[in-house]
This record gives sequence, C-alpha cells and structure tokens, in this order.
Amino acid sequence: MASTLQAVAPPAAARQPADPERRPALLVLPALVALAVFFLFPLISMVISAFTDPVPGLGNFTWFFSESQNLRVLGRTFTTALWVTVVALILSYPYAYAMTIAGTRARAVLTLLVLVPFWTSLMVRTFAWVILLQDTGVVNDLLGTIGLGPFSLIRTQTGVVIGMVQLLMPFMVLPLYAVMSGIDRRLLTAAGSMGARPVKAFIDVYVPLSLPGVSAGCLTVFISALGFYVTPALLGSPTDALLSQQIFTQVNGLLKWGRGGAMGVVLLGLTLAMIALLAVTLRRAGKKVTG
Amino acid sequence: MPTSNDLAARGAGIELTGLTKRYGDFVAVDDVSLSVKPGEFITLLGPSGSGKTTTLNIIAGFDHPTSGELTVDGTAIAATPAHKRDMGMVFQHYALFPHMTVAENIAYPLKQRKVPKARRAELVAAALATVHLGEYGHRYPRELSGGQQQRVAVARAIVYSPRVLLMDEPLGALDKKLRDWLQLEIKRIHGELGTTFVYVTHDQDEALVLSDRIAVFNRGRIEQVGPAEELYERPATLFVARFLGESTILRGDVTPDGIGVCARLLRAPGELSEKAGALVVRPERLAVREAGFSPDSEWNALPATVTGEIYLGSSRKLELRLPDGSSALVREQAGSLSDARGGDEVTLTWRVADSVLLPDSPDVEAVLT
Amino acid sequence: MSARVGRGALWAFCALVGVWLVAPALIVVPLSFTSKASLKFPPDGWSTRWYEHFFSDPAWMSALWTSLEVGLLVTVVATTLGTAAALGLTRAKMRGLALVQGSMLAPMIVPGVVLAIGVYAVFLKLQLVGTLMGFVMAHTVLALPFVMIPVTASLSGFDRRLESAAASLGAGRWTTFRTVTLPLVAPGVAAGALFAFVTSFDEVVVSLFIQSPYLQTLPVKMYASVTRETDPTIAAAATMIIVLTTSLVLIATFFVARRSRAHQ
Repeated sequence: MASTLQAVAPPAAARQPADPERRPALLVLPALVALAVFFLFPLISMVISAFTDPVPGLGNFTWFFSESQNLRVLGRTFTTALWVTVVALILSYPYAYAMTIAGTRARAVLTLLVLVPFWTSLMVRTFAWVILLQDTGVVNDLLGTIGLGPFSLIRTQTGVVIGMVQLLMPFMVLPLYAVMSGIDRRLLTAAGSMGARPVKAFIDVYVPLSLPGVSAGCLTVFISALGFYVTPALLGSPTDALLSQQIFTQVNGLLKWGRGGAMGVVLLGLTLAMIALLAVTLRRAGKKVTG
Repeated sequence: MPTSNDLAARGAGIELTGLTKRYGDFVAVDDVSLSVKPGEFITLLGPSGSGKTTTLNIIAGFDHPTSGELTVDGTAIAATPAHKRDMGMVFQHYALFPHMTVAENIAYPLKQRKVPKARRAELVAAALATVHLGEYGHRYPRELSGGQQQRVAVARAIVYSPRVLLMDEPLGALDKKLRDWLQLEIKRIHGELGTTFVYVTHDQDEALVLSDRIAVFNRGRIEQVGPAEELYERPATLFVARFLGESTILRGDVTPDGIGVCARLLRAPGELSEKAGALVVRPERLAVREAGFSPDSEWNALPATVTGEIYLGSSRKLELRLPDGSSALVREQAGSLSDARGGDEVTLTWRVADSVLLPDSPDVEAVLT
Repeated sequence: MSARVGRGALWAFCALVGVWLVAPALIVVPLSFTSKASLKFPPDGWSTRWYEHFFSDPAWMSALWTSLEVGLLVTVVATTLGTAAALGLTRAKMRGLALVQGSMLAPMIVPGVVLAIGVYAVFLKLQLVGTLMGFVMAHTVLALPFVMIPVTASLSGFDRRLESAAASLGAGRWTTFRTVTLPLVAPGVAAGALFAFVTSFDEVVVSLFIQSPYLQTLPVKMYASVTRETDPTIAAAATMIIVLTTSLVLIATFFVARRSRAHQ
C-alpha cells in the first residue's frame, strides 16, 4: 500500500511557499494530536510493556526466542506470507498483463473485479470463505463432481492461503498494472525484428521491465500477510496459529501483556524492515526508469 | 580495430506485387507493386495515413497483407514471422531496451542468433565504431541524447548484417540540425554496408538527400517511383508535383493546341486525354520580365502582379498574382535577380519544355492540407 | 495460430480469476435467503426469515446501530481532521513535513493486532474500553489516511491562484475557503468521507479488543457468530454490509473519477 501513498503524496518541490504566519501548520495539529494519543502512544506503551511487564528487562524477548514453539509460529507466519505472496503473484501477473492489453471496456471490467472485493468487507469475505471451504462446502462439492476430495480445507494452512490470496490480490494486481501499463510494447516488436521469438522477447524485455511492479506488489502483499489476523483466525487451525493470533491469545486470553508486547515488537520490526526494503526497491526502480 | 567492414552485407532485392491491406472498409495499402534492387536506398515518401508505414510493417512482418505477394531475393516470405525474416529495423522512437546498456542492446540480436561471445564483442565494437559511439557501450540509453540514442538504434539494427534495413521515420523526433547531420551519417553507413535500405519518411528534403529512388505514396497507392531528379523534374501526377518541392500550378481546359489559362492559350509539352489539366512549373524555371514582354515560340508568357518578395540570401522568392486570381512562385538565383518589386506589373515567362502537363485532380489540396 | 490460442488462454484464465475474486462475497447473498437453519450452499428453499430474525434480535440490532453510529461519527471527525491536515500539509513549508506526512499514513501499514494490543492497553487506563468515544477515536486514526489520500490528491491539482483571485475580489479568508477552495476539493473530501465510513464500518481487529459485552460493532458480532453459531442470520447481516459498503465505495469511486476528469 505504500506505493499508492507515494503516488499520491505531492513532491516537496510542488508545495506552495510558506505563508508569512505558519497557520497552515496549525491545521495539521488536531490530526497530529489524535494520531499521537490513539496511535503513537498505544504503540509506545506496547513496546514499553514488552520490556517492563511483568518485570523490567529482556525477559519477554528471551522467552520468545528460546521457546521452539514460538520460533515455529514465527517460521509458519513467514512461510504462510511467502506462499500467499507467490500464489498471488502467479495469479496476478497474467491478470495485470491482460488489463494492459484489454480494450477500454474489458479493462474497466477487470479493474472493477479487482476493486470491488478490495472494498467489500473483510469480515464478510472471510465468512464467505468459511462457508466455501467447509468440509461440505461448495469447493468440495465442485471437486467431488470431478471425482476429487473431499479435502479438509478449513482449519488448514491451505485454506488460510486461499482466503488470504483472494483478500490481498488487489495489492498485487494494482502495482503490477501500474508498472506494466508504462511499458512500451513497441519494444517487443523491436525484439521481434532482431530475431527474438515472441516468448523470448517477452522474457528478455517485458519481464525485466515489469520487475519494479513485481517487487512492490510482492512486498506489499508479504507485509500485509505477515500481520493478518481475522482470516487465519477463522480459516486456520488453532494449533497452527500465526504470530498475530498468538499475540491475540497472549494478551486477550492469557493477559500476558509483556509477552504479547514482545511478539508485537517482533512483528512490527519485521513489518518495518520489509517496508524499508520496499522503499529502497521503489527508489531504485524509480532511479532506473528516470535516470 | 573493428570497422564497418565486419558488418558489410549483400543487400537483398525486394519485390512487392499487388500488395493490399484492408482494415474493415478502410484500404490502408491499395495494390502496391514495387521492385527494390539489391543494395538500393529506397524511400517511401508520403503524408501521414498514405500507407507507407503499413507497407514497411508488411515488409518487416509486423503486419500481414490482405492480398498480394512479397518476395525477398525471389523467396516468398509473406508467411515468415517477423523474427525469422533477418531484416534490421530502426524505429521512430528508437525502441531501445531501457534495462540494457548500449552494448547489451546491440548484442541482443546477436544473442538471438547464438553468435559466440567473442565474436559478439567484436561485432558490437564494429557497430559502435560505425555510428561513432565507441566509448558509449557501458551507458544506459537514458544517459544518451536523442541523436545518440538514434545512432544506437541504427547500430543495433546493422550489427547482424541483415540483408535489408528498414527505417520508420528514424529522425522524426530530432531537431533540424541534428536531423541534417544524421541524414548524412545514414547515407554514409548505407554506402559502407551495401545493405538494402527501405526508409519511410514524410519529409521530402530527407527523401531527396538520402534516396537512390523515391516511391511517393498517397491514399494507399504509389503515385510514382523514381530517382529524386525524375520525380522533381517530371512528376507523373499533380500530387507528386505538389508534395515534392514547390511549384506553380496553372489549371485550365486542355485543347489539342495547349491549355487555356487566364483566357490565354498556353502551349504545353505533350498532350492529355483528360479535359481538366494542370500545367506545373517549378519556381526556378519561371522568369519575370517587364510588362508587355512577348517571348518567342519556345516560351509561354502570362501577365502578373508581384505581391511579395522574400530575400533568402542565395536566392529570392517572388510571389505573383495571375489575372484569374491564382498565385505563382518564382525563385531567382542571387546574381541574376530581376528588378521587379512588390506591386509591379510584370510578365511571367517560362520555356514550354520546362513545364509538365498533368491531369488535374482537385482533391490534391485536401490531401496535402 | 499459437498467438490466438495464447490470448484465448489468457482471457479464460482472467475470467476464472475474476470469478474467484468476486464470487466468494456473492455466495453470501443467496445464502441469506435460505429457508433452512444451516449454512449449506446452495440453499434448498427460499425465505426472508433470517432478515426477520436479524431485525428482531436485539443483539444484532444493537450491533448494527453501534456500527452506524460509530461509522457516522468517525466520518465527521476523520473527515474534518483529515481535510484540515491535508490542507495544512500541502500548504505549510516547514522542517520535517515529509515525516509528518508519512506518520499520518502510518496506521495503514502497522499490523492491526499490534496496534490493537497497544490501543487496548491505553484504553484500559483511560477507561475507554466498551465506550462509543473509544470506538470513534480508534477508528478515526485508522480512517485518517483514507481521508488524506483523496483530499491531498484533489488539493495537489488545485490552482492556488484561484484563492488569490478571490482575495483580490474582496473575499475574506473564511469566505474564500467556503466559496472557492471547498467546492473545488469537495469531490476529494466526499470520497474521503465515504472511505472513512467504510473503514470504520469494516474494522474488526481493534474492535475485537475494545468491545464490551454491552457495546460491540457489527463485524465484531459477526466474528463472534462465525466462531460460535451456524445460523444464517450472519449471512443476512453480511448481505446488508455488502450492499451498503459496495454502494458507498462505488459512489466514492465515482467522485474520485469525476475529480480526476475535472482536473485533466
């Protein structure tokens, strides 16, 4: 999502010169205060509790990194996010490509198909997947008619990945489309004139040029998947919980604020590291294109 | 030291026969036949939408003819896909791969042909030397100026010694000065390589500078093919006369004795079966004499009024108005200027042999403007 | 021709992906009209009994009202704060502006659970758990970026010389804002307001923490129902949410589209 933000935020140079009085800055203040009290302060207090609850020190972190159970959760969170990213990329790349070559009307339909679920309630869509994936659900019925299954899909990692991919696909499709629509298709013609078969031309020219979109999309999906709560909680198995579910359990169920906080710090740290990676990638990609 | 000798190729002959391309009801290319000799530099010249680029794309294999034949060195290639035609193409917008360096761009067609690495490096160096960009191999296209990018595009298209080099308005995006210089570069490269060049442009000056022969396109058809001089001096149609260079056009009814213009009978070279005719005279073939001057029988004369003069250093242009309200353009070389001035009543004269009588086609102006 | 086959395959693939993107949400709709008390799909018979049940069950109704109430309040607060901040940020020139701008958008990227436990801790101290005020403020922070993005976008396409012109014609600061600035950025503000409402109306994770048995929002109630019950009332609730949010988003998208067209 960071890519959307960068696209919208005006470049510093375009900003207007300062008013003599600094009144514009005052306009930011109410929002800033709200953000400080209801966003920054909560995050800080979470970090503090990670280091102080129940006793000051690194106890919560040594607990987190010494219990193999926790490391398994961390690993599972990573692999789940990775799977979601890979599957989303495989589905989104051809889809975004089709959007670039479609006519105006077909493109509008394809865009709508991506955007409508984007804004359809997360809770509703997760509920829908619960129904679809249940043992006697539609997916198993369909598989049954072609002689497969029934598979247990709900309360499995597969179910979690299926649901999360669908929920996160817009974040993959949109940056891919943004980059792909800027690729000059005449380059493919040019490659053809130099003796490259169409498939070869696509791999040599189109794919490398689409990589900025691939990395932006992948990192955005990966970041979002890392912190997902509702979908894994409802579609996944309690014994295969992800980091976000463990945090929920520690704080809401066990009232272990410190341990939950420590896990939160780990998750936040991971997310921020990925965002930094994203920022670097985007900047490099931007440089490569604009020179 | 690698040179353009490494890249020399035997140019191929191209034969277009009855080539037609329809898009629905629209006929983009209409029964075009053209024979290009091996090693020739031929230019397809015409206004936008005249079918020249479509014809080029058909030769390249990017477009497929609705009907008609296309052979290269006697082999029919209409069914051969673009990437197997072994032609070079230089695109209007260069189409350099932005993610590859200049050297990688130029090596790309060689890689497709599985040329060994060492030989590849030699050929890339030779191509870069040919376009005078020896030290730019490691740069990215975006780090080059427009003219340099254009030369890279040329290098990339000639590096594998294709039998035919196709160029689609390659200088269209550059400014005038750069264009003039690159025209000479392209002509030099053509001379060094021996490849057949097919060049598309809408710029008549470019066509005149570069070409062995020019094919003038209009509305999907070829109006005339020939060397520049022939097209200029002996245009086959009014469209060619109007499109290539400046001319004075005198319209009138054709009779066996000549053509009636401004209530006078002018003598014309040759005859015409059509009734509506146009007598075409190039500005430097027209001369201005004093009012009432009457020349001998080799010459035609018309009264005229000078309405404007433009001094151009090496020459002077005079604009004249004829009695029927049409206008004429005279170019006088420095050193032989007449003393006519704006507002003067004069006599406009020219040798009958210096004019061309063509059938009038009233819609020519609509196409050109 | 292989190119044609490839293209056909691509379109077939896109059609499948398209169905997969949209269909899950849509199966909820027929399910809400089932006559049986199970979430079996496709339903065997049709009725509107689950809607009747939804509207007669005090728990569902109070969740709906809470969500609407919170959503509307968040819309007002977040739109006001967000628009003011966007105005300030596009016009102020000061050190650290980019930092402020970035931090305004931070709620979009921090994992929901991480923010939720922090908010929960703070709300316990401030005694905001299970209060309307608590929901409104927590959701407002989450909705701010969604207000600021469209408003900033419409402001960046806004010609400030129009304000100077209004001032030179004798309009005061507030009059200029009301009669020139606001009407021109109104589509962006309207889109932001709708996005704010939808953000609040959809929020689950933070709400799960700060709810109380007496005050919960519709998604929270749904979450609880999915885990506990198999009663199709939840499908009726989901259908109503789909209709409401989809229509709001379509309206918002329309505003955004109109704005970008107006600025071209």
